[in-house]
Amino acid sequence: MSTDWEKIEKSKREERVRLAGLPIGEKFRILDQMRGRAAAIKAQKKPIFKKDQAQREKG
Amino acid sequence: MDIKEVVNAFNEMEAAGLFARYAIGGAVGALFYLEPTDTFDVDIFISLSPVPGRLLVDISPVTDYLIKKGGIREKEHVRIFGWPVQILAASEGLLEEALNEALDKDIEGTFTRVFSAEHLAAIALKTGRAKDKARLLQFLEADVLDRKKFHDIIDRHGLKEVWKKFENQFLKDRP
Repeated sequence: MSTDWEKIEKSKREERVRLAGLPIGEKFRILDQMRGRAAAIKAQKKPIFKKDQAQREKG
Repeated sequence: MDIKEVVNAFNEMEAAGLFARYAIGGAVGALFYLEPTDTFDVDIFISLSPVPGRLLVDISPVTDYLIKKGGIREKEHVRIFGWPVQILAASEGLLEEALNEALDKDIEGTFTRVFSAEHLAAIALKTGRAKDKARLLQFLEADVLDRKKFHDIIDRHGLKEVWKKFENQFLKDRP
């Protein structure tokens, strides 16, 4: 099986163009959802390195 | 939508004369031209004059106003209506020009002002972090820039060499 990278890139580009063309209110609603998801992930995130853990505990 | 509350606060401050003019820049500014990309804060640029005898401008009247409206100071931001807001003085040539030439926009009935796509792209070129380069590529790919206006800006602000470097790094051999 081969991967058609050009086709994938084309469809991604089309989606980006579609999203860019949305009304600004709609784009802000999408951004709000993205920010909500990012905040939820950040709240659950376990540190990857011990140094991160130490920094988190230090505040 | 909470961002409308944020820009309304800046509309009120501008009307009250706390600063002469404000405009949205950064990733939230880019949202007016591009697809949504994740960002946690909103950068708002204001024009302030330095207090006589002092070199730095004082943004504390603005932060104080936001805190009175329920904002909370968080390091370099004020969090208000769910948004960490970074208030930045447009204190150098490119930013001053971007603020002076910012465009009037409407968020579902709420007035605001946003840097032009060309100024946002030039600022991204100047700041040059990985995320800024990615944003500049987004602007180019989306084909939303007036190329003449963009090149006039980078010429005016001494960014020609930086652009050449960026071009060599990212735009050579592209179809």
